[in-house]
Formats: sequence, structure tokens, C-alpha cells
Amino acid sequence: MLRTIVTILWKDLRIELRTRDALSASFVFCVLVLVIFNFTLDLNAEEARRLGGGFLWVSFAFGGILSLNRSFALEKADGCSKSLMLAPADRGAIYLGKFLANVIFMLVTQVLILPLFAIFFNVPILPAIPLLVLIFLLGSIGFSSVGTLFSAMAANTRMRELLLPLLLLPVSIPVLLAAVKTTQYALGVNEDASDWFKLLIVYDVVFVTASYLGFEYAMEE
Amino acid sequence: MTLSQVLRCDGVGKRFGKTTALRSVSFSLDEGEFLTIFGHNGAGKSTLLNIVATLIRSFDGDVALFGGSAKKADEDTRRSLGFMSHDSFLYDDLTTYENLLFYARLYALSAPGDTAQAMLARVDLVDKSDAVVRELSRGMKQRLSLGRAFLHSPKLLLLDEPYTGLDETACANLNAMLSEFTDAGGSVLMTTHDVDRGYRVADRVLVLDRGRIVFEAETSQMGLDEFRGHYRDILAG
Repeated sequence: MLRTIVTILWKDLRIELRTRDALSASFVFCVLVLVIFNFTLDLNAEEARRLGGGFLWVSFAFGGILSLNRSFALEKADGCSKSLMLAPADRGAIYLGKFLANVIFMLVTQVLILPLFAIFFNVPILPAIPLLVLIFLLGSIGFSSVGTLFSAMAANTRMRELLLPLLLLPVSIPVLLAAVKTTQYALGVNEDASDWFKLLIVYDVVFVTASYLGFEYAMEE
Repeated sequence: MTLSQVLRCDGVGKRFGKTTALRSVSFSLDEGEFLTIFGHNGAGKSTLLNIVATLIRSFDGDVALFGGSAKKADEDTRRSLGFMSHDSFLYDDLTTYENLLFYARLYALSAPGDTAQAMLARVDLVDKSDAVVRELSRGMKQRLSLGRAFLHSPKLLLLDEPYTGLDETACANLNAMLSEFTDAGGSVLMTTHDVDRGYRVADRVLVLDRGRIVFEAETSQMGLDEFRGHYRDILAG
């Protein structure tokens, strides 16, 4: 199982390192969202700190959808998803390999966007970096877990670019809400976010497990 | 199903909405046997191959692969299948070597790097080992796709129009690989429009028309010209 996960992950990372399609699209989209918020809302430092978590996660969610759409579009081209179904490999392991690749792409985008956010909105982030990285990791796991599953399902339809956000965003509301609240806490807005951290962790566990179990059916045409 | 049978189809039927792709198709394939299926476009050849390849699991009738039902094919059964379809099953942004290396790892082959290199040599693409697939010609892609299908030494090879895009040398190379494969006990189920090539390599031929088997013959019992006549009549309807 571990061999299959590593093999799928290696393949996705190799392709991304060569093309940079998912990362560049996601990064540019996130930057554009932050630029639009920055220029359209005339915020002072305190307002920027309070709303910053929302700005970040709106950009991460939509940037992540671009990356997730690419994830299984890659497998549909030239029938590669059929070859994955034919392989003598655990389908759940294939899911975990794709899921890990998506988490890594999302995390890399987040790490690149964070300094730009600090500059655009003049929000001090240095003391909060360790906690923000943990929140980004938990949020990316939750968002990518169900996103990878829905990306596989949407890839089998004619309207995959439209269908993925329609399926993913409603289901992702809890993880996005928890990610925003915990990010606000890390930026010093809230005094306590322990319940939101618990929600993030529970969401991750539940949806990684459910998506792992449901992936085989999602891949059937 | 006898001991030497690797595949048995019993009354296989498949509908896509209002379209019937296959109607009660029954045949079997023995170990070391080469069966070619002919038929015009839309006759149901690719659907049949997809069912045998376990990619379509919802169909009428039954397909037995190596003694077990294709509807419940496990990892061992899938490991015994090699499939070359209309799709190349290749990643355009990986090199030829990386593609084969990926599949060698996915099939848990020992020494995947060496196996991938050896297969590149076998399909005459060693000098293209660092080329990404999107830069290859159609024929080169087809050769690489063939190498991918053979990579894990399957027991049953399913080939969907394998001669498409191949030049004469590559066709001869493919025939040599297939002959070597069946001599070693491997079985082949192939669909093609190419009557001459498809007939010459086969032990037995079937013709599918509108989802039904309408003709079946042993190639040892009938010459190519005679078969061509029958096939022409079938196509003429």
C-alpha cells in the first residue's frame, strides 16, 4: 500500500515540477484575490488583521479548486484513470497518493502567499508563523480530502470545471469556517479557538476516512 | 470453464441508455490462443474488451477470467491482464522512461528501473528515453503503449486496434512480440479493422455485428481470401 501511495505521489510531483500547471494557476489566482481585496477595501491595520483570515481562505479555497480540477483532468487524458483502475493496487492507496499530492500543492501555494498577504495588508505574521503553518496543514488536509474525491467524480462528467466547486464548496463550509476562525486566532483576533481546532481535526479524520472508502466507487464510470 | 481456459464469456450483454452495445455474446479463449475480433465501427468490440478488462462491471451475463468472475476481479486477476486500448494510458508530461518506470512500480515489479529500460529497448525507443511523451510521434506513442501493456508479463493481453499508427517495421516487431508471447503460453484477444494482419496472426477469428457474434472460424480451417469474402458479405449486411 505504501509503495502505491509513494508511486502515485512521485508521478504527480514529477509532472508538476515539469509543468508547474497546478501551482502557477493556483498561486496567480490567490495573488489576484488578495490584490482585489487590498485595492477595493480601504482597511486599517486592525480591520485587516480581523478580516485577513477570511481573505486568505477565500483565496486558498478557489485557488485550491483550480489545482484540484487539474488533478484528475491529468488522469482522464489518454485514459490514464483506466490504467489506474486496471493496476493491481489498492484503490484507497491511489486515493491517498493523489490526496497527498494535492495537500502538498495547496501548502506550497499557502507558504508562497503568506508573505504577500503580510505585505499587502500590513499584518505582522512572524510570531504566528508556526501556528499558521499548522492551521494551513489541517485546513489543506480537510479541503483536499473531500476535494480529491469530488475531483475524481467530476472528472467523469462533461462539466467537471463547473461541477467540482458546486460539489466541494458546500461540503467544505465547516473546514473553511474552522480554518478562518483558527487563522484569526493565530493573528491575535480571537482569544480562544480550541473548539475550532477540534472541528478541524475531526473534519480531517472523518473526511479522509470517508473519501478513502468511497474512492473506488467515485472512479467507476 | 476448462483448466486451459483463461477467459469465458457467457451471454454477455451491455446497454448504454437506449443503445444496445452487446447482445448475448458467448465465446472462450484458451491458454496460448490468439483470438481476433473483427467488426465495423460501433459493432461492440471496444465495449467487449472493456468488460473483459474489468473496466465495465455492470453488464448482463457472466465473464470468467482465470476461473473467477470479472465482476469481482481481484488484484491478482488484474495483474494477469495487459490492456492496450484506443487511449495510450501514457502521461504526456512524463518521459518515456518515467512512464514505464511508473507502471513498473505500480505493478510492484522487481528492479523497475531495469525493467523499464529493457522494455524501451524492446520497443526500439531507447534513444527517446528522455523525451516527454507529448513530443513523440503517433507511432512512437503506440510502441510505448505496447511496451506498457507488455511490461508486467501479463497472461492475457487485450489489444484494441494495435496496428493503428504503426509503420511496417513496427508492425513486424509487434507481430514478433505477440508470437513470442503466445509461444510462451500467453493468450491474446485482439480487435482490429485490419483484416490481413488480424487474420494472419490469429488462431481463431470472430466477427461482431451490431453487438452479436455473426461469424466464427478457425484460421487453420479457412484461407484468408475465403474469410475476406465472408467478412465483406457481413459488412454489406
